[in-house]
Amino acid sequence: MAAIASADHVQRKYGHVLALSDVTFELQKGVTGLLGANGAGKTTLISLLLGVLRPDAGKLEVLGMDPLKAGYKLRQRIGYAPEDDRFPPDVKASELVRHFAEMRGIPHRSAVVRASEVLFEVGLGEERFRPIGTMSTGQRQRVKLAQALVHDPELVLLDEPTNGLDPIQRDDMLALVRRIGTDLGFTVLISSHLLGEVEQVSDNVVMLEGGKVARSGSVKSLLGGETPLVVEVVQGARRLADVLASKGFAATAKDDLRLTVPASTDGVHDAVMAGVVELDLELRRMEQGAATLGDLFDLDEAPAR
Amino acid sequence: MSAQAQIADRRFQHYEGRRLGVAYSFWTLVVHSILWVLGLKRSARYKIVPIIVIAIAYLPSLVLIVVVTVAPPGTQLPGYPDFYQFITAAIYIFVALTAPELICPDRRHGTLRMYMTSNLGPTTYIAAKLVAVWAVLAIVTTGPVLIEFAGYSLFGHGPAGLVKSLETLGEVVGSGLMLAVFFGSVALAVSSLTDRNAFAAAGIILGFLLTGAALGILQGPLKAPDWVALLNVNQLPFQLVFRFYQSFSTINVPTWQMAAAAAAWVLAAIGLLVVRYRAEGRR
Repeated sequence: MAAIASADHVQRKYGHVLALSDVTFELQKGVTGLLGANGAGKTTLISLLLGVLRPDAGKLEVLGMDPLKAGYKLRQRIGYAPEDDRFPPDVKASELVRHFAEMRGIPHRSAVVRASEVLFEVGLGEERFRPIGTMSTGQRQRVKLAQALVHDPELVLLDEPTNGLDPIQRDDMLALVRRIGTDLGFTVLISSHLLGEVEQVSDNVVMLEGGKVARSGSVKSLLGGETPLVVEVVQGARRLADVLASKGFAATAKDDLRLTVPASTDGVHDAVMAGVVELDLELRRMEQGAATLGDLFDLDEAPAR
Repeated sequence: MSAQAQIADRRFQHYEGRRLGVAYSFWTLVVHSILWVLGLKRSARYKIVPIIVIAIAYLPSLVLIVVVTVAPPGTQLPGYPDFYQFITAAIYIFVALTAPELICPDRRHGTLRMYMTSNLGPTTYIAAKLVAVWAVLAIVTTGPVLIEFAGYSLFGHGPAGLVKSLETLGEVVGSGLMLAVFFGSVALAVSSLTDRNAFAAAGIILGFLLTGAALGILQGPLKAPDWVALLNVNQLPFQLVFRFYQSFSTINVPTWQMAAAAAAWVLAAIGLLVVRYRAEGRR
């Protein structure tokens, strides 16, 4: 399948600071999560894909075009929702969305109709004539999403769309992002520093760490079909991992409460139980099959609700 | 059910219509910016101040028309370049009001980044804002003098003959547009240095007043050379208007040098805007 976008050994510096280094990945259809801590280079990568930044080295291709050379012809095929959601407070949602449809080349009449349609689609049908300043953070994020979709782009870039949302609003927004990627058929790149979010909505993941691609691929392939045994103890997971490792099991303790160990290894359950008894630990849970990306990689998880 | 009844499908549908280019989005932004800054299609409180300032700018010309209707032939009436002294304050206030409002909110509200990823780039965005500020300022730099011209012409105090009338009309419009381009460009450049309207407005007013005062001291007691007057953004455009009308001006340098200095100010302002917004676009 042809990639929607690709980066080939892309590098970008700000002065002496290396924001992206040797970034190589392919963006496929569906929803892709761009995961990384703050400062990992997510927004820089999105800016490069939009063609507003020039890479210092490497090659980028988006929808078959060079973002720097294609100019507006590419930009009007991309929907972009920036991280910022401080819209003009006295402007109605429908007017803002209509205006940005026009700014991306949709004629006035169609822009008016589409602004209404897309605001209905993101759940703001009743609120579309309200000034944005009277809306909640969640509603403003939806307006931001609506303006990114209104011109029916082939690629939607969402920069931290759940910023500032409470857990319920965040789940609603993620469900909406998932729906526009599946039901409406948009290709979406959603950036986040929260692993749980990315995992919840994405088919594919690009993980950035210190400006480099730490891992990329489909969520399934990253999980590798492996369903590790997840062991939770009250305290002492690291000591238990050491004991298991000394017996030849590849156990990984994420912290002192939880470890994972490949479940396919013979005798692993007995070894865990023996280790728990030997170290006199309090076992809380031992479960196979609930693997997450967080279990496999040393990444920050979403904060607990 | 009525035969006329229809089921409206308001679900999102993919778009298969025309997609227009840069020129369409450019003019959309120009019109949007003009309406925005005049408070049109916005709530009433955004309309009040522009209406008051425009009224202040037009009041002297309306008073002058009343004077013209009762003035006997041969009465000494203010000339077209002299008329600007009545509306200079209104022009400054309007400049300080409109220029920041045209660009500061986009940076403050984060919508600038959305413009930078639309059909427009930094240069076309700033070009649209320049056209908008010039058009809006022309309301106060050209309109009142046009009314004066119309009043003089209607009541027998205007230029004699069609050719002379057209020539004067050209001078009126040309002078007004020159002032709009000069003040609009410089004020927009000052506004690009902050995202707060109030700071930008204060910077514009203080910049014009302080430049005038400082250069006045330089040229007066300190006897600076004549060319220093070309740095006076407060006086240079108005003095150039006097030269347009072939009237006396207080700056003692050739007209071409004044015109070149005014053009240099405008180009420097546009240059600063382009540099600033190219950098903003890359953020």
